[in-house]
Amino acid sequence: MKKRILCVPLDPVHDVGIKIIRNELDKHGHKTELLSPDLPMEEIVKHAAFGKYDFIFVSRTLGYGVAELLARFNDYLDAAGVRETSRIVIGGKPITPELAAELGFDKGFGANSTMDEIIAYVEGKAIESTTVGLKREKKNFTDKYSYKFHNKEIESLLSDISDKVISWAKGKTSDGIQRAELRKEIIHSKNEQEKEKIYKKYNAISDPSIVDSNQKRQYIKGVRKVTDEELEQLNLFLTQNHPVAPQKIQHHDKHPLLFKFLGSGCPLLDIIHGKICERWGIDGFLVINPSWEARYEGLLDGYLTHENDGTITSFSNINLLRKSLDPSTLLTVRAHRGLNTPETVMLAGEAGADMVKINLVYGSLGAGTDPERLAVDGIYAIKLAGEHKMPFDIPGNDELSGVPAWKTLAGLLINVMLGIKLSAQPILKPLFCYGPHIVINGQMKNNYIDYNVAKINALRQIVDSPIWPGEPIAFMTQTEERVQAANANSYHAALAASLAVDAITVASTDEAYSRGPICITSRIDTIRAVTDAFRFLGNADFAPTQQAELFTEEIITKITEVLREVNKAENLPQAIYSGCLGNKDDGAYPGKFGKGTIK
Amino acid sequence: MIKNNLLANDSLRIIGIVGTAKNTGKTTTLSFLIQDAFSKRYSIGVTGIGYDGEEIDTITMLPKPRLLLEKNTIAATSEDCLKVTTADYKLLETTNIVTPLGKVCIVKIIEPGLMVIAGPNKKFELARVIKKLKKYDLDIIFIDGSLNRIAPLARVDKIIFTTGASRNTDIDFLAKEMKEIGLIFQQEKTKFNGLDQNRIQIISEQIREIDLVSLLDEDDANLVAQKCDNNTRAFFVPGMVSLKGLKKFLVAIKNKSSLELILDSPITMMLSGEPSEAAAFIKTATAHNLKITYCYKPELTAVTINPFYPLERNFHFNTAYVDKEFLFIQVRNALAVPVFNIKEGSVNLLELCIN
Repeated sequence: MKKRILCVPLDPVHDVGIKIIRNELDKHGHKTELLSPDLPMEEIVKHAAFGKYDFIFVSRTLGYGVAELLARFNDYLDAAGVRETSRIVIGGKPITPELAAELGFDKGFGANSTMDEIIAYVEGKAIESTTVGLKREKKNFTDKYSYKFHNKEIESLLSDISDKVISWAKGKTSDGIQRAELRKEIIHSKNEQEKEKIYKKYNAISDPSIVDSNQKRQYIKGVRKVTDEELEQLNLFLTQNHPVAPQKIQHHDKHPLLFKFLGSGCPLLDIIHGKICERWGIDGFLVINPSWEARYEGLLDGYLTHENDGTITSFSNINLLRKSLDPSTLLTVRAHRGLNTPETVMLAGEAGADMVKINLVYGSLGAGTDPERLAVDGIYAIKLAGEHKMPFDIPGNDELSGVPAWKTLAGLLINVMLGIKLSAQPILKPLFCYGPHIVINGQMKNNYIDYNVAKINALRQIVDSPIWPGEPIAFMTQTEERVQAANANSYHAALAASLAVDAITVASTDEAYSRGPICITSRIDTIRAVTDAFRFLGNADFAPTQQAELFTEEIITKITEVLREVNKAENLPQAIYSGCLGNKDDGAYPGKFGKGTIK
Repeated sequence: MIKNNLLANDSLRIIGIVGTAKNTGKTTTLSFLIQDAFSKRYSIGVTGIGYDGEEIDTITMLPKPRLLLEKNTIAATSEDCLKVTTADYKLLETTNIVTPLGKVCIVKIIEPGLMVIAGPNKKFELARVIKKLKKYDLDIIFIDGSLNRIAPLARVDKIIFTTGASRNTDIDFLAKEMKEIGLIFQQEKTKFNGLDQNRIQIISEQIREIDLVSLLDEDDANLVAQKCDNNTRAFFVPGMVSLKGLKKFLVAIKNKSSLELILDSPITMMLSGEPSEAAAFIKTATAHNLKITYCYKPELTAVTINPFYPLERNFHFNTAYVDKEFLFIQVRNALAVPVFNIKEGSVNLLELCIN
């Protein structure tokens, strides 16, 4: 049944919103009438009383004393008997259900309300509340890629390099691999005595500091158990809160997914930040572990908090994160650093993570693990990721050490080919950064666009693979100043959207300068900035200069040269030792942790 | 629930608490009355005409429950408020009265706890909820106001006004304003009964009706005044009046003597304009032999004062107070009804409400 609706712009100036609503109501066949703005209250009440309207829609921006004015307006209508026949509705950006109730309205529509909700309300149809679930499907951005190589020479070189290292690693093992297998047995064992026996084997091949922590609760400095009370408080936070309406970051479906880091050290703080970010539209998180986890053989057990950077990737912690976040939120766990790569992948898979982060080259050159050890562990870990149907993302952060982009990208491509050969789904993660090599050599002297575009285009001309610039975007273009940092992120995000990449990782505005755990407002800064950037860009594109094409050609040529050099080496670890993928001059050093531990 | 029958004439008292502005102490006054009534074993019902949304957790953006409700209290509040209550309750009834926070539910408190009270926010729906609450054999129903809203409270028995520095830090202004409100409430109840609540009526030998509910402007005033003749004794306006309309009406009937203008309640007069203007009109009208009376007349039982006000400094609000003694004395001297500062010593406010 068509409704009679009086639209009242109580505001002297702002009546655009109510005009838009009126237009939509008219389109749906309702009979609307719009009063001129800023009429005296008596006149509005008289009009409202005579018209016998079903609804009176009021719009008003809020300011000093306006709440009292609106409350009084409702009183006038009540005293005049209008409220017995008409429902009074308020609309405006700051309107919440609580505020509408406080002011005495029948209904309020705010910044998060949709036109569909307004129409449904007027027509008396059931309205799905916008304040409950995230209403989104879990995204898979690897399925649509064929992993076919367009550049045959590079494909052939990568194939040879991968075959050689897989063949070299065959039959080799490490304590890390054995622990991963034991960990799986522990998780699945239902017999306590049996579990104890497996733990003994596990402890025998673990660092004494890890064994002491797990057995005697003598934790590494800064680590403590999360208390039962803290877990209970988390449970109350998760179950007893009424969530606010979720936001959407992407303006259209082709815009990239947005990821953030979680690694405050405290899994509970991570979850609270995670839940807030989810409501702001974040699609996924990367769990970042403490750097020392890379140096010890073995991982800690239980719900643990760490008074320093990095959240401990115990099974319980990952599981808690996974269960606490929305099922549609993607979760990737950093695994590629250090001596626990296979075990971390195993835990991530068993705890329900969606992806893991593995890079054999960067893990050796930028993160301190011995290339041979990481090659053996990494190949096992990639296989494991494939078995758990977890795509693995390959960060190109060696560029931040000073390694040229083409060497970093060559390293990423080696991982891609290993993934293909080991039945896993790799994801390329080139940096969108102002890295040291670029600073010194001037590729971004004129703009930040051309060289970033060239990296993406080069990879696309080589292989059909998902691309997820990270880690995070805008690295080394951010300053300590929040507005600048948010802007820098938004520009890089817009560029990424223009290039139609699959996902991006954004930092918070205080990521590099927080001097402790980053704060939630700084996280939201960049989410908001990126949301606005996506809205601004829409389906338009950036227009790089001709220089981007020259850079693209140069990068492909140099990647080919690097891969030829790598292929000349006996195997991948030897190529890394010899500096083909980054050397001392570039600022990259082969790692030493785990040297000589291959069995 | 068994009614305690502690009241002298065994009748239900409906008490409304109204603020002149936010932060004048409505919730403090209501909490005091609830606790006092509970300790004296009265059976209590509580509802409110809106939502006191002041206390929001800034991290979670959730409302924080504010009223402590004791065991066996009957409360009428919206569904969303029940989600955040710390009290254990039994749902007695879900009404079809809808607020922005969901349907109004009637619950009985099983274990004490905090609750946000957001009930029906208009006059006719409040009347329906009160009717439903009456089924539960209560001694007293308390109705919490919201902001400066007053219209839904036209049908309560007694009204307690809260005023204070949050309304205005000028104590003389507050005292004068309460005196003016006192004058508005002092006008008599009409002796005419059985008036039609749906249209304006001119009462002469016979009752004539005009197809109009409110008296809002010059046109309305002239239309009503034209119907007046030498036999006219009274006019009844069931809807709203504006001062503009009233003043024009007074001019239009200037030659007639000893007329009565019957309004719905003092609340209607309160809504016609600022209390100072409404009180000034009553005085002028009285001087011109136009007597203002009411169909329904809630009693102004008491006034509570609150010296607190939020002081803005560098975009932050800080707690500030005016001189509480001076505020108390000035308001007390201005009024014929008792004045209290709830936070200062023992107060016999509940006794005033039930007697």
